Amino acid sequence: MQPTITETTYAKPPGRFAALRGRTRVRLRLAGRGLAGVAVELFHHPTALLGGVIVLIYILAAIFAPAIAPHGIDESQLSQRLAPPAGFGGDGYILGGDPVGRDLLSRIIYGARVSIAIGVLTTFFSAVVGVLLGAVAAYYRGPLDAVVSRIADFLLAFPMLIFAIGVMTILGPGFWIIILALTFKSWVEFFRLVRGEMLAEKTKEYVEAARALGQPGWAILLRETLPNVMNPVIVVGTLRMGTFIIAEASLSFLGLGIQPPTPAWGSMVAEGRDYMLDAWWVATFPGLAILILVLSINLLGEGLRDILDPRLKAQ
Amino acid sequence: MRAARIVERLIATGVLMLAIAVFVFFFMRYLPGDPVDLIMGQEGNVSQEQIDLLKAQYRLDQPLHVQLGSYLSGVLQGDLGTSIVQRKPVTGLIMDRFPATIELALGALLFALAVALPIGTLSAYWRNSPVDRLSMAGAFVGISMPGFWLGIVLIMLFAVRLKWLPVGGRATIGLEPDHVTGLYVLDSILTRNGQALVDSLKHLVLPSVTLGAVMAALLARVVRSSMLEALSQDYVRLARAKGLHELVVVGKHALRNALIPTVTILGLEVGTLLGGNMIVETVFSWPGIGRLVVDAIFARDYPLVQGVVIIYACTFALANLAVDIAYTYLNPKIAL
Amino acid sequence: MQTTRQAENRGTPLLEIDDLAVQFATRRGTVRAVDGVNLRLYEGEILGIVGESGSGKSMTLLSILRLIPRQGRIARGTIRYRGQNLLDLPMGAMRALRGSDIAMVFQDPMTTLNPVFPVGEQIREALRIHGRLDPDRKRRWPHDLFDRGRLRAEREAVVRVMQEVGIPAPELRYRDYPHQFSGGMQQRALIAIALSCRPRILLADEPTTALDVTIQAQILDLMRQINRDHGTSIILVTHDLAVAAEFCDRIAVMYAGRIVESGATEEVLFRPRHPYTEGLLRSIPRLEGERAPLEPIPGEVPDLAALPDNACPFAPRCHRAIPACTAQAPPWVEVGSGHHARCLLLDAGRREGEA
Repeated sequence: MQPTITETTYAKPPGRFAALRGRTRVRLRLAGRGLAGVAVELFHHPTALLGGVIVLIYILAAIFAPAIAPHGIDESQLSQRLAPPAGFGGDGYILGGDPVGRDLLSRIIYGARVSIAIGVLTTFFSAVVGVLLGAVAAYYRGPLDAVVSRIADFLLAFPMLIFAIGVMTILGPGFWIIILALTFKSWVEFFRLVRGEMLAEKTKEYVEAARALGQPGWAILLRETLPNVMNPVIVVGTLRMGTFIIAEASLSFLGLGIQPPTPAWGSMVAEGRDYMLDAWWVATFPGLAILILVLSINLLGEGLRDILDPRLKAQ
Repeated sequence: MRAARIVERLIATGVLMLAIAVFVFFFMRYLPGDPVDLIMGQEGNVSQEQIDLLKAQYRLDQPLHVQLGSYLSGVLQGDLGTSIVQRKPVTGLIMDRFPATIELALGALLFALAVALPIGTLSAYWRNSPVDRLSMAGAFVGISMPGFWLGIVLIMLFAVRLKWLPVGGRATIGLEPDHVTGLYVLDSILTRNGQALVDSLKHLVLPSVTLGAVMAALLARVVRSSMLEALSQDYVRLARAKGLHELVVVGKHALRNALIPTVTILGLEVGTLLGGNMIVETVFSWPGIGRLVVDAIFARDYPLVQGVVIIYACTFALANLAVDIAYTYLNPKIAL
Repeated sequence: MQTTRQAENRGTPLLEIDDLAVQFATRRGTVRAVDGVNLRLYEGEILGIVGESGSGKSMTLLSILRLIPRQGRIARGTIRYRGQNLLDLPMGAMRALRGSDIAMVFQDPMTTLNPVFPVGEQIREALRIHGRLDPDRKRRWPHDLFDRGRLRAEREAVVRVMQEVGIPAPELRYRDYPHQFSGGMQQRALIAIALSCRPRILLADEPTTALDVTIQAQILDLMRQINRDHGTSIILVTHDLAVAAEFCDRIAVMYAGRIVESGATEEVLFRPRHPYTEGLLRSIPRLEGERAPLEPIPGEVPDLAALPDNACPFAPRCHRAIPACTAQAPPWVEVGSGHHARCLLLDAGRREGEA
């Protein structure tokens, strides 16, 4: 009897290892489906595709603003001061003129640069900070995890805008300060996502098998789980980007964000607010630009969620 | 059992509020620049005695832990310091403005629930119908809406163009109700002042809609999905088999269950109401603490900013506590 | 077996189901969940509907209360209760019958009781909705919300019902929530809800499947007692032939949305005529009698979205199938007194016998 038992216990590790290799391959293929694969699947989600196309148009407009914009951002004509848009009695600027006689359309096109840059960078930094802290906390557990998790809970209890305003008060307005202020709180969501995923993954047998084989645990964890965690991170990142863009616009609207004369949609709406009695277009069009961009990002985000991580849909 | 849980939550909330106060204290203490310079900046040239006097007045000559101690004991006694700019106690400044903010937040919450509950429920009940698709498209636009812009568009439409509603403020000058609670609508009712009631309601509509719009959209989506879940459950079939009217089946049996996840999300979104009020109060010239803090930031009035942030955080913690308590009543399994 | 059953003196049926068909539109095509079912339920009788899962027995039951899931529809047929076709009734009249004349007990008590209301409250609602608490009085809302005497009377009525179904200490358990009840007690509570208005027909959809064996017997005893004491007719849907054998006066065997055999319990169990019934009987273990080996029926339940029109749906699994079985729909043949089966071979056999 005895030899049989030893034999079976012996037989297991190679079997596990084979299973591990099989899993690895499947994982990498799923996670590394690549941009092309996702793009193909987007065609089955017409609304997401529409969102993606509009986002792409915004990005291109931001990059090539000098080539596209009919006028310069500082170029003003006295005759076009608060001039109505074409079709509403205007004869010059397509979307009308601002209080200083500058072309509203051109300033909106340039304004995309600030919004998109802040949206993308904030998402990127939040994700990097959140993913790293999440992975470290989940791997080492113990006091480190406890401390970071407490801080995360605490930050979660804070409304983002109040937080950002606190930071802006101290450090003053500025492009990077806005990103810092938003990231200060928004890494928490990525942290919790990654930490939970990692904790669940850590107990799985391929990690244990790798450890038994003498590989350092963190290496295998990073290699195996990060690709797995990337899908939800991409989805949450996309869905959050809209929030960041609105937060930046809100700060700029309050005068705490991007300062004039740099064109930012939030501060343009604030300028228009003083003229809403007789020049509705000044406040309307920059806001519409925000709405359409955020709407498109969210459409894209929900589509990506369906494609990359249907599990998140339940939430 | 339920009481024990509520007490436990109360203690946790107290600890959280204390932590927030400490956090804000250190946050403000490590500002770049000497607070005295900031205070003095508005005075012109000053002597060393004046500086020492000020330092003593703001206890800046004491060690940090003593400062923290006296600050915390002040906070516990309701003393949030003195405004640098207005030279008045911060607590008094905040309390004058706080009812306006509460009234606006309640108005927004009411609007959000009044929109989200019926729309979410009907969308789930008639899923994939034109009603559902239209509502959910609307909700999708709603969650992507920049609040400050919505407020301005609403003003241009309903106040400037149609002239149905006032452009801003809480009441027409001279029509304010007598002070009872500070909530104008409630005070108008309590003092039986019909004219003031209509006036304050008219002033409340657009700000509430603006502040509540994003929340309404978000909640409508949550209500719909939790309602879909509830409607597919066996207990709904039992309710029908009992012979109950569809209104009771949906409005009582399904909705009570769907409210559980809805209230959870509501708790998470209370922050949106608080964060949004700075914007909305600015857009509508609403004299609440949101505008107070924005003005204070521009004036670099640190004690005032510090006080408002603490009030914000505590309101948020208390609102979450209220949600938690509501939750224990909604979900009998939690009450155990 | 028992001979005291009251299936004899029948009179007119209480419930007559004729040519009932329930269909579901799916992406793969129309699923014919119930396809031409005929059933009779007589006063005071216990009728069993037996079949594998997916045979359409639950759908048949749900059709009676018009509670089939929204993706499905009743494509044709009539369900007559005391002369009126339930399928033609306006919604209000249908609601008035649900719970009061025809009540239902569901399969999974855990998920069927509403988790957020106390159990007593859910029974009270059932009593109240059909005005069984004080039929003389008009409902005056909201004044009577605060009428303490009436509230006490309602509470007592609920406690009586809870007592009747054997829930111990009902006064104490009145305020308890479903998750504080055990599975057996939950099912008793469900039966209390069903019985509260003294229905004439009790529809029981696998009422014991989710329960322990000992609890199963208790619940079946309770239902038999209800049948005896109040003369309530019962339709019991089950996949468990042993339960049906012990409990029912008559049995109908369903396969692929059709009834393939029906008759008195003894007839169907001891003289099964349809090959499917024979197969079912051979596939269950017996405690007594000959020790025949267990034989599962070969093959699988057919795809209800792809049933052939003119063929016996059981033919692919039938060890006696002949080519004609896949070429024409099998006839409904009387094989004994009140004993019918749907099989081509029986028809041919009889004709041969006559010839």
